[in-house]
Amino acid sequence: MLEIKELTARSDDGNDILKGINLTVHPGEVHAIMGPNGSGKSTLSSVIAGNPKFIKTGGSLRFMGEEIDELSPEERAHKGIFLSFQYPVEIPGVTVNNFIKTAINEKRHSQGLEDMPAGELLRMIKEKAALVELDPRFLSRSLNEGFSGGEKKRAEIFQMAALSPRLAILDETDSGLDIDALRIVANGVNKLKSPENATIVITHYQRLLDYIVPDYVHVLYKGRIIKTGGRELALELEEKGYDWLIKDYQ
Amino acid sequence: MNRKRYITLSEDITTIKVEHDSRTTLRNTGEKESYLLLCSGSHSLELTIEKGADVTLIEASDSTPEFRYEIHLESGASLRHIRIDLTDKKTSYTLHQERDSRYELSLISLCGSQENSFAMHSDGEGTDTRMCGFTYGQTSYEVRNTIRLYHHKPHATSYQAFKYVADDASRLSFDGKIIVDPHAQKIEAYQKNNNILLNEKAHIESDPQLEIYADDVRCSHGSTIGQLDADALFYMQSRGINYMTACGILIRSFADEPLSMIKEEWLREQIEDIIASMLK
Ligand SMILES: Nc1ncnc2c1ncn2[C@@H]1O[C@H](COP(=O)(O)OP(=O)(O)O)[C@@H](O)[C@H]1O
Ligand SMILES: [Mg+2]
Repeated sequence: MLEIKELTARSDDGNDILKGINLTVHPGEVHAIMGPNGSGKSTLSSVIAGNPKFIKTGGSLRFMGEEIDELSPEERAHKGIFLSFQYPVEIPGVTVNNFIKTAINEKRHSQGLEDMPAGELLRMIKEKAALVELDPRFLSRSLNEGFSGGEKKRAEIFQMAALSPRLAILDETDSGLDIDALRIVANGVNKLKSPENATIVITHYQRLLDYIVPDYVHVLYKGRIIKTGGRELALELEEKGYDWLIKDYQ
Repeated sequence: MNRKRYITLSEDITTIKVEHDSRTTLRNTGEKESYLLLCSGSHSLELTIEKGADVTLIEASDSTPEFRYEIHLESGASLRHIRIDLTDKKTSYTLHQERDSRYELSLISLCGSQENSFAMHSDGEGTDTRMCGFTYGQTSYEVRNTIRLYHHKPHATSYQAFKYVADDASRLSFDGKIIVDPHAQKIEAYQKNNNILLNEKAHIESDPQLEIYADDVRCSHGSTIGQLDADALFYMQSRGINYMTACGILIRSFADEPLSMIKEEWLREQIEDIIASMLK
């Protein structure tokens, strides 16, 4: 599904951040990407989603068997890539409801479909909100404006549920969540899991991985994946920290 | 593409047609009422809102190119004033507010060159004055808002928020001053002018000023200038929303303060449609 080979990228102000990433994700898999702050985790997810702030300088990035370099972020989204932001953006004056309607209908237009009938849309939105235990009152509030950290993350997973992507990348969706919110968000992600879709969970802590069980755990450091293992690697990192791993890369 | 640049009026609101320069008094007859002014052929209007009345005034027509208002709010009166400018105009507003009255302006400029000058006087305690504006400048239109807001009496509040989007070679300017008299204590007055520059050929001038002669007041002012927020655009695109639609959403969001004051959906939706059609 996602094939990344020797991917290098820099920021628009000229910093080389990704220095040769290799990562392959198949349908049905859950990958966790861990690593200290500043390693390039958010940059990697931004580059996959097509953030124009970063420039791909080498390697290849393929999704569903196709190079996606030239695709705009919205075209990548239409192909089924979803990025849950570490810092979701506040958009005053645009309700969650209207925002998700716009997103769904723009995707349908890209597939040559008409707008989703209003009744169907309403039912679907309600159902997905229930899935992440999002209070329906949030649907008529301005997107992310005045939301707590946990509410923002829940709104992200709600959008993911409504858009049903093939590949979901969750960038530190667990940071700032208390244990209840964490459980709700993880439940939402687990309920959406299927043999056809895949998830990349970016996290600092092993905690989230108690709820979303990964098939692979990767450690990203200074723009490279320096170690890959199974679930037990996350437990080991929890216990021993990163120092033993990164000492050779200082 | 939709190139509509006019507003279709709703039928179920009361209409006043001002044919000649005139004096008009508005009072409440029942529930809250909306009045629509059609100023054909006149150049000025003295408008009095009677004591305790609660009135909405909507102007969305092609009135005469030069117009002068004198608005008088009696004690406890409330006026919600909505004005949509779509043609070249030069307008002066003089407002006098008596005790506990409330004035709320939503000034939307989407087309044409306009010069607006405001002299707003809080003449009584407990007044509240809110002025919100949204200007979307295109081609070589020039829009200039000059505001002098005088707090003559204590215990009053005022708030100004003017949002400008400048595209093409448009020139937009904001010159706003709050003046607080020596005895006007316990005033809360805020003023901001936020600008988005969509084209390097466009020009924005922003000059918010405070002149405060009382010591026990809370006042602030400020202005910002920038582009459409790249992070917000990417956020929306990552959800499958096309770049152009995302720009439109951001501009709509930027204009939210003045637009959300327009509770009349039939009107707000038309304005939103015009804004959406202006994107390029
Ligand atoms: N837009 C940017 N411009 C320049 N440097 C950036 C930008 N974004 C991130 N960086 C730098 O790239 C490195 C990786 O950042 P990031 O991908 O956010 O790491 P992580 O998500 O692993 O904490 C950091 O050193 C950070 O300062
Ligand atoms: Mg990060």
